[in-house]
Amino acid sequence: MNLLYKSPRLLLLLTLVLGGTTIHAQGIMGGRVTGNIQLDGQISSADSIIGAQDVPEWLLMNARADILYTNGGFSAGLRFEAYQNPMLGFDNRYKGEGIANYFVSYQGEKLSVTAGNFYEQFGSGMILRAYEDRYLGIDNSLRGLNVTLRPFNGVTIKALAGKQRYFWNYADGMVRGIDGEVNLNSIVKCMAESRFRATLGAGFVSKYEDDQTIAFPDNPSYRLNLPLNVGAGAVRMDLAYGNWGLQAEYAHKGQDPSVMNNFIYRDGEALMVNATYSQKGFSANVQAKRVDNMSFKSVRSESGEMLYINYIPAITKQHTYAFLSMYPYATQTTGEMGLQGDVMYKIKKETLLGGKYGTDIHINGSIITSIDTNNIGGAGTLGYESDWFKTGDLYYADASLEVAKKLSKAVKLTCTYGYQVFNPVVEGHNGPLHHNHIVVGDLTWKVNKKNVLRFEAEWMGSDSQYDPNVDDKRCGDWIMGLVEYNFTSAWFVSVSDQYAYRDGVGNYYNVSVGYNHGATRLQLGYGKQREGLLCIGGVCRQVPASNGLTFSLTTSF
Amino acid sequence: MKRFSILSLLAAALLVFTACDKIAEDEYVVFAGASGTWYDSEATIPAVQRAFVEKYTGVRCVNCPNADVVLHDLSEKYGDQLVVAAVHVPNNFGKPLHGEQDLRTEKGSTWFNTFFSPSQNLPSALLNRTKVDGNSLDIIDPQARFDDKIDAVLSATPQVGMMLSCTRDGGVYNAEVHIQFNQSVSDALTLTLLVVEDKVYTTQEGRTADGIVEFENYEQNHVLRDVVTDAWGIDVVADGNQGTKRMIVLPVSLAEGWNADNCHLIAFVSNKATREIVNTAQCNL
Repeated sequence: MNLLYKSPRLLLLLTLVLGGTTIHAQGIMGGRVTGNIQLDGQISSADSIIGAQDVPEWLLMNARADILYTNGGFSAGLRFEAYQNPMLGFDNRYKGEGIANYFVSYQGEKLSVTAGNFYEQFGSGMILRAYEDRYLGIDNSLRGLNVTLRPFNGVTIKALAGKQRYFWNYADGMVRGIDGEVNLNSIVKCMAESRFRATLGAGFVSKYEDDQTIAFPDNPSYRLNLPLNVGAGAVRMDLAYGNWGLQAEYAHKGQDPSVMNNFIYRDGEALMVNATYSQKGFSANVQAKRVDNMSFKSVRSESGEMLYINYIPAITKQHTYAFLSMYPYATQTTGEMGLQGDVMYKIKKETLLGGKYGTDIHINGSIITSIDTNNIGGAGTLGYESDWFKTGDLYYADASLEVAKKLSKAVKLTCTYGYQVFNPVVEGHNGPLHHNHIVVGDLTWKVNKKNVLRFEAEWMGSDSQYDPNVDDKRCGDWIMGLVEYNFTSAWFVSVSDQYAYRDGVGNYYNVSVGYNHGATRLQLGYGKQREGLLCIGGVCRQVPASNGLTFSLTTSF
Repeated sequence: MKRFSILSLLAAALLVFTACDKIAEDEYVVFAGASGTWYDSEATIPAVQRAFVEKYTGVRCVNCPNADVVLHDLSEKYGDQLVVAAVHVPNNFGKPLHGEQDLRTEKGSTWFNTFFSPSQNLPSALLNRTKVDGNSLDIIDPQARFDDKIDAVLSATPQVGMMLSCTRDGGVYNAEVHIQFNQSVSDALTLTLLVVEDKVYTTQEGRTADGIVEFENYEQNHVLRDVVTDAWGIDVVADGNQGTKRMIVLPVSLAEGWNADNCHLIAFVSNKATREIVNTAQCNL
C-alpha cells in the first residue's frame, strides 16, 4: 500500500485499469455516459548499439480518458490526459496532467453548435484541419465556437472561431473560418435522379496574430512589416458519373512570413486532383498535387508539427509492413509536387491465374519532387520564383506490387515487392539518395475457428551504408521474421526480429502478448525499437530508440 | 426568400472573413522607430567617455533592490559619466504586482530575449554590452560593486564623442544628438535613443531578515519607458573619418502617465555588428 502512496503514477495506473474495466455506460438524467480510456506505458534502458538513452524515470506513461454525456441532441464531454512523464518521442512540454479538452454541443437537424474544444475540417483540409492524433502527439483542437447550419437539404455552412491547443496552453493566434458546401443533386430538381453527381464547396480561413519585432537580418535597424491577418481560401468540387469520379481542390494563401518559410512574403497555393474509376473486381485512381509555400500556422514563430491550421494530404501509399514503412514520406508543406497511381484488380476464380479462389493484385506507384525555385532573396522579400510545371529534386519514389492469393480455405498468401527511393533532405539532412528493394511474404493459416497462425518474412536490400557521422540506423540490408499466434479469439502472441545483416547496425527483437475481452484490450511487449520517423498521413514525429518493456491498455464503456 | 437570406449571410460572413492584410512589396521591411536626417555638426563636442549600464530587473525579483543600492552609490561616485537604464524583464519577474502599472516594454523585452536565456538570474547587468574574449556578453551581477570594470571603460580614449540636448516644441520634445569621431572608425555604427524615468513608485518584492517581503511605494529609478528608435538603433550616416562631426534631431513623445520632470533621454552609439556600445550621453527633458 505504501507503494501506492509513494508512486502516484502507479496509483493512477491502477485506478484507470480497475475503473476502466468495471465502468459501464450509465444512464444519468435520461442521458447516457460513455467513454474510453487508453493507457500506454514504457520502461526503457540504455542500449549503446541502437542508441537508446537511459531514462531517469522508472516508468514513462501517457494516459487519457474521454468521457461523453449525451442526451438527445445535447452532448458534453471532457478529456483527462496525464503524461507522467511523456513517453519517448513525445514532446516533453506535455508533461503534467489535467483536463485537456472539454466541450458542450447541440446537434440539431438544421443547426449544430459546439462551444469549447472541437475538431473540424474544411474540404481535404488544405486551409483548415483541426485534428488530433494521439500516436503522433498532435492535438490541434480549437477552443472556441463552431456553428454548422443546414438551412435545407444539400447545403451546409460552417463557421468557427477559436485558438489552437498548444500542449497545456492555447496559442496566441486567433483562427476564424467559414465554409460552404452545396450538393447540386439535392438542390437542383432535374439533377436529383441524374447519374452525374456534383458537390461544390468553398471556404476561407483567417488567422490573427499580434505584431512582433522580427529584425531584418541584413540590418537590425529595420524590421519586417508583418501581416497580422493572414487569409487562406479554397474552392473544391467532387464530381461523379457512373463508375468515374473526379475530386479537385485549389487553395490559395496570402502573405504569411513565418519561420517555416524563412519569413518571405510570397503567396502560397496548393492544388490537388484525384481521378477514380471503379467497377467490380477493378479500381484505379490517379492523384496529383502541387504545393507551394502552404505552411499555415497560427503562430508565425512555431516550427515543428504543432499549430498547423491546415493539412496537406499525403498521396504516397501508407504501408503497413515494417520494411516498406521504414522510410515514410513526410509532407513538405513549403513545396512539393507529386503524382500517385493505384490499381487493384481481382483475377477471377476458376481461371489460369485466379485458381479456385481468385487472386488480388494491387499495384501502386508514387513520385514526389520539390518544386522548381529560383531564389530571389531571403527574409523580407518574395523569396523565390517558381515555374509551375517544372519539377525540382526527387524527394521520394515508391513502387509496389502486391499479390494476394488464397491457397486453400485455411491458407492465404500475400507477396509484395517494393522499390523505394528516398532523399534524406525531407528529414532535414543532406546525403545521397537511398535506393531500397523490399520483398515481403505473409502467410496466414486459419488452423480452426479460434486459432490463427501468421508468418511474415521480409527482406530489404539497400545501397545505403551505416555512417556513424550521420547515424541513420535504417541504413543497410535487413531481414525480418515474424510469427503471430491468435488463439481462443482472445489471446495473441507475437515474436519478431529485424536484423541488419550487412552495412547496417542493430538487431531489433520484440515479443508481445495481448488479450482482448469485449471492448478491453491489454498488450505487453518487450524488445527494441529502432529510432526513426513515425508518419501518419504525411505528418511525422521522431521516434527515438528504446529498449525495454511497453504496455498498452484500451477500454471503452 | 429563405435561400436569399442564407446566401446573404454567407456573403456577409465571407466579407468579414476575407479581411487579410496585404503588404506592398516596398513595405516588407520597415523602420522600427523614430528616424531623421543626419547633418554635419558645428557644435563643440567634448571628448568624454561615458559608460552605459543596463540593469535587468523586475518587481518580483527579491534580490533586485540590492542592485538599486549599488547603482545608486556608483552613480554618486561617477556622476554623469555613468548612465543607467533599468529594463524590467518580460518574464514572471517583471509581471506587475497587485495590478499596478506595467514597467515592461516591448523593446526592452527584445533586448532581454536577445541577450539572455529565459531563465537568466536577476538582477543582471550589462556594461556597454561588452563581451568576454570578444565572444559572449560579460554579464554582471550588480548586487556587488563593479568599479574596476567601469574604470576600465572610462579610462579608454573615446572613439566617438557625444552630446545630447533636449528642446521642447509645443507638445513634442526633440532630442538633438551630436557625435564626433575622435578616431577613424571603419565599422558601421548605430544610434539608439531611449526614455527613462525616475521616481516611479510601485510595489517591489525584496528580501529582509524576516524573509521575502513586499515594499510598498518602492522608488524605481532609471525605468526604461521606451526605445524611441528601433530597439537596435538607426544607422549613423557618416564617413567615420577622424574629425567628422554629425548631428541628428529625433522627435520624442511622452506617453500619458509619465512625469516629464522625472524623465531623461539617453542616447548611445553602438557597433552595428557586435552591438557593443561605443559611447553614451544623457539629458533631462
